[in-house]
Amino acid sequence: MARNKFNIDEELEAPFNWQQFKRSFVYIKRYKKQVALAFLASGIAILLGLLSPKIQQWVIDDFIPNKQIALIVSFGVGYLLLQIVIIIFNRIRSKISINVGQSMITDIRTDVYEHLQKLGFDYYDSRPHGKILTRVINYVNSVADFLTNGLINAILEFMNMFFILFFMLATSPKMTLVVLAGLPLFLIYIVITKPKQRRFRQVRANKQSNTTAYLAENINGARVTQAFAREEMNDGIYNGLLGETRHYYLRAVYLGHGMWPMSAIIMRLVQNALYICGAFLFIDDFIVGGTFQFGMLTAMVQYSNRFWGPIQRLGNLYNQLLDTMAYLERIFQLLDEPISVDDEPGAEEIPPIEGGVKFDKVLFEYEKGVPVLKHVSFDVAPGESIALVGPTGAGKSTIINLLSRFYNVTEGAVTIDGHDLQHVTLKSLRRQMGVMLQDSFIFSGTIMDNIRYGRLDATDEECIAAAKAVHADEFIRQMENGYYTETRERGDGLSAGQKQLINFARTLLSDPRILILDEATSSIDTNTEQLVQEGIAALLKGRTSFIVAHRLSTIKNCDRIMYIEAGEIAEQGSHAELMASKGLYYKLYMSQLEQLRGISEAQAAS
Amino acid sequence: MGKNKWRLILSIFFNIAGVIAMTAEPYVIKDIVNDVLVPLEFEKLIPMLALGFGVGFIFIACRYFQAILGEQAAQAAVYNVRSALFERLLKQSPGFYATNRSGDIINKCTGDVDWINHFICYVTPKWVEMVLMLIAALVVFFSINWLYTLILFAVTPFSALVAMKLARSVRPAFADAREQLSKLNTVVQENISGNRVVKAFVREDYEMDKFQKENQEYKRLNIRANMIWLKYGPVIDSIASIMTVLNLTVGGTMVALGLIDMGELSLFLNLAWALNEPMVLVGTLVNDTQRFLASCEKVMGLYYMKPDIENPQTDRSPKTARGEVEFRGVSLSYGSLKVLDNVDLHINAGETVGIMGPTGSGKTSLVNLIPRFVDVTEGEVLLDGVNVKDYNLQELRRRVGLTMQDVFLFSDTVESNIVYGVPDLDMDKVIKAAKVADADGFIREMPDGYDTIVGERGTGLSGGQKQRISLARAIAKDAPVLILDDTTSAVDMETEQAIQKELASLERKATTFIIAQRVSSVMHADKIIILDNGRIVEQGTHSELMRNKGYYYNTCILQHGVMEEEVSA
Repeated sequence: MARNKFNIDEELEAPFNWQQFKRSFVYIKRYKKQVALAFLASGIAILLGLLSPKIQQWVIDDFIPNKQIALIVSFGVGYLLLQIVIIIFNRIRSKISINVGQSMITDIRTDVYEHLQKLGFDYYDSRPHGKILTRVINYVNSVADFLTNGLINAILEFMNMFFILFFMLATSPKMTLVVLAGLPLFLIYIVITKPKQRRFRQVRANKQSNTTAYLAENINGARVTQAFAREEMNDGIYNGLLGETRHYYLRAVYLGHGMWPMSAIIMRLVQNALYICGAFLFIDDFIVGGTFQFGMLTAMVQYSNRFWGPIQRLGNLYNQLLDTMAYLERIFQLLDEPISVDDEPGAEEIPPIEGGVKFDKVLFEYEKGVPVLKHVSFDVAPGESIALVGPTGAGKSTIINLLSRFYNVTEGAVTIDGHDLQHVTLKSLRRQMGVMLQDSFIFSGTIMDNIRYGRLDATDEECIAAAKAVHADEFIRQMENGYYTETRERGDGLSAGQKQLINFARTLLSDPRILILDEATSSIDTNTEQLVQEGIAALLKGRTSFIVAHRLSTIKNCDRIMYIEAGEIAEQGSHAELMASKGLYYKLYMSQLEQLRGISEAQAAS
Repeated sequence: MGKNKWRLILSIFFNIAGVIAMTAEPYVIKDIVNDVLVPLEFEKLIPMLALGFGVGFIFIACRYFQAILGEQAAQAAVYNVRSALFERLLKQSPGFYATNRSGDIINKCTGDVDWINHFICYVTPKWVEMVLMLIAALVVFFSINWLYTLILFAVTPFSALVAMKLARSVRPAFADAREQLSKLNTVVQENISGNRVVKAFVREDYEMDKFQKENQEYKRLNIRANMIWLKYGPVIDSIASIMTVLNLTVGGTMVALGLIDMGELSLFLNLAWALNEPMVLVGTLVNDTQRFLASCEKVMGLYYMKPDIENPQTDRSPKTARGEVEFRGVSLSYGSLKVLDNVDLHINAGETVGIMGPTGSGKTSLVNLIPRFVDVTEGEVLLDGVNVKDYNLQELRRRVGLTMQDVFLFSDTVESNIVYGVPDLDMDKVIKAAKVADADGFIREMPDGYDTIVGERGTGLSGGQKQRISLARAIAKDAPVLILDDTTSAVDMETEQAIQKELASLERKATTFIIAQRVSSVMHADKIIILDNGRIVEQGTHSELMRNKGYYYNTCILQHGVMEEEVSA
């Protein structure tokens, strides 16, 4: 599993290509009609806009020299009306593109988020969470503008170019060729700088994501940083990341800003060429009836400037496109992230679980070639309670994770009531499992919301009953607003034990068929734990349960104890059986007994 | 900073120079029409075009340097702001993080700061340009014909009026949208860090709904903010086009009446954009300036939020650190909730204290007072005879090694995590610390050993593994005071015992606080205290407390009682 940390760039494996860019069209297609309408409105506006120089040309070339004041004024009023119509069409276009644009990012974000819900633990465990967040929030926001306005504008600018081209051809085909002659120069610049620009923008996106990841982690771990008096060093690291981001940003921008000067110079060269050609080369075309039609030449120069306007704007859009591509490839990369644990085609719902669990030669590796479970087999009868003991990292949590199919087995099979978990739907399975994880995650919201997370349609009374069963009611009522106290992010302000109790109530409320407790009560004091156990004894009755714990008093009462060591079941049996066989469990137990003797002796001595 | 100031000044200089060159360019065009095209004197054309091109080139060069210098200045500013914010964030106490959502903080440090960049690089030069162009156009127009100019400028006040109205109504709309972005940010962040719980409870659909609510609201508010712009923008545009019309009709009429000549009109028409552009731009600029101001407010708010725990004026920390800790009449309240109530406790250097008590009895709060994660409400906490409030904060915290209940590991290598407090620690000392924490064994079994990168918060590691790495991290610091808050709860008892033995045999024995729920964790301590509702209810050695037959005794019996029966059996 390739893991990532804050200062490692997440390099792309596949180079970006247009094929991938085309994927963003899926989102545009949903708004085909609106987009078409926006184009239409814009097209009309552009067409009408092209009439403006014509009107000006008439006024200047004909009406003014002939002193036709009435015509000047009436054409002026006509010009104003024309402008207002153009503004109205532009407004229609803006309104549509804002709506479509916002809808599109909302759609993309939804897809990204939906995919995130399907990704397995391994995805989340192998990179800083800030990097995932950056993609969902910042990157999606960054592509919005291009995918909406940028793309529409780009197409419009192209259309615009063709309209102007048409008008230019209508005015003077020869002069049009002069205008077009500047184009290849500009294209050469783009082609030469493109690879570098793209690279810089990609790297910059990476660095930006690194910076945000580091920031996010430092916000969450601020206390650790303070406890270890490492603020200065982290300041230094952050500044280093900021510096890198700035470096690549400026690199990209130096090239990007070169685009406009290039086009502006070419535009002026073309303009000069037009004057020269008008005055010397094609002078015959401009002399009509003995007078030089400079209005026509002026119009041509205006058209030329207008022709280069779209090109300059396309140049800017091109810069934006390169940025957007850098972000889009990240977003698509996330969307392409394979879902490691998913429903198989034709997977069926698992019927109500009775609780017969079977591990059949289960081999499991997180990392290829490093088996965590080595062909483990065991059978659990419905209603049996199983304790898993053994050294840390022996594979206890892995067994538990496989029961809810949080990971797929590498080899072998896990079955419940004879159903291979590989062939059942995840939802139907996990809905019937009650898992209390090592980390008790608390969401922001009220305590009540957090308990209700176990069963969304539970009434307040049911939630309170669950809290009472795990003896959490007492401390909850002592809080400022009781069950309606707002919890802070990650349950800040609650003690670890309190978080575990809330978590416990949540699990209890979900009324699971199989209950799994993974070091779930380690921070709860013994008195409360004892009470909790009494409270859930009724719940456990008749249900299969798996318990990982280190307090032997918790373990002893289970029907069967499995001693896991180095990915294998070293011993299993009831407490009495294992004690009789004098193996590893016996040793573990006796070492605690030693301690106990110590206590007894101390007592005797005092 | 100084260099950066010059960049900004130079950038504005080029900005101004650029506008002047840009305004001068049409002058040449005017002369081309009047002096070349009308009298058909084409021999003058080439030198005049060369002049025009020269002016144009200066304009382009100015623009380019303005842009580059502006970007550099803006990047430096953004760098400084982000760096200052980060520095400030690391100084904030847990109280700050409890009241500020991390999604919101991240938003302020990223998106809001980006607006500073946009403002310096784009909005500021545009404002300068706009004002300059208006002035330049005004001067040129007046020098040609004052009446004509007055008529043209008659419409500008209307434009300004509409722009002001836009400014007033658009700002709250943007504020709402960015507030919503923070909410969205928080929902997503929580979903990412809580992904295990989401999956365990099959709450993907529920999470999706929760997200959709914020996502859709964000869309709605964004559209709303943009629509305000759409309401005023067209009005501003219309006013701008009235100006062009006036130019054409009034100008045309005046030429017809012989008040100005053709070349002058041509100049007016060519300079018309110098009037038009500012008029059209004003809307966008007002819009963006408002967004910038809204973001600035947020960034400033974050920066000026004073940390509630600050360094004292003078550092009175004693030179030698021994590790004697004393609590004198300490009380602590969070609002109306009293967490600690008049606690008196004295621990000699090198002693070990075990702290037990029911869930939520104030155990963690008590030890949090030593490194000043929170300050006492009443009383005082002394380290080596000096009030912790008189220590330089960094110095104080350097003297306290700490593991927390909620283990936080950074997504970095195991080694980097262990040396977090002492970055230049030798590898053999790292290994030694890991050995004391009984972590060396499993670390070596990991795919890349000490170079293995662990997930954020240590996800993917078992609870016991995380706890032991965090313990190694605290040990590596080699501080005179060591606080172990629930550090071995997920570690089996055998391992725990081994760890305790190792800790006791360290060359320099730290004053150690052990918070635990297991009797076996604290029974060997020099002193054990039992907290209940913020008060010390029992205090003494293991045997003393056993005789006492109180909470400790009962817990001991509960945890070991069953076994005792067997011993006697």
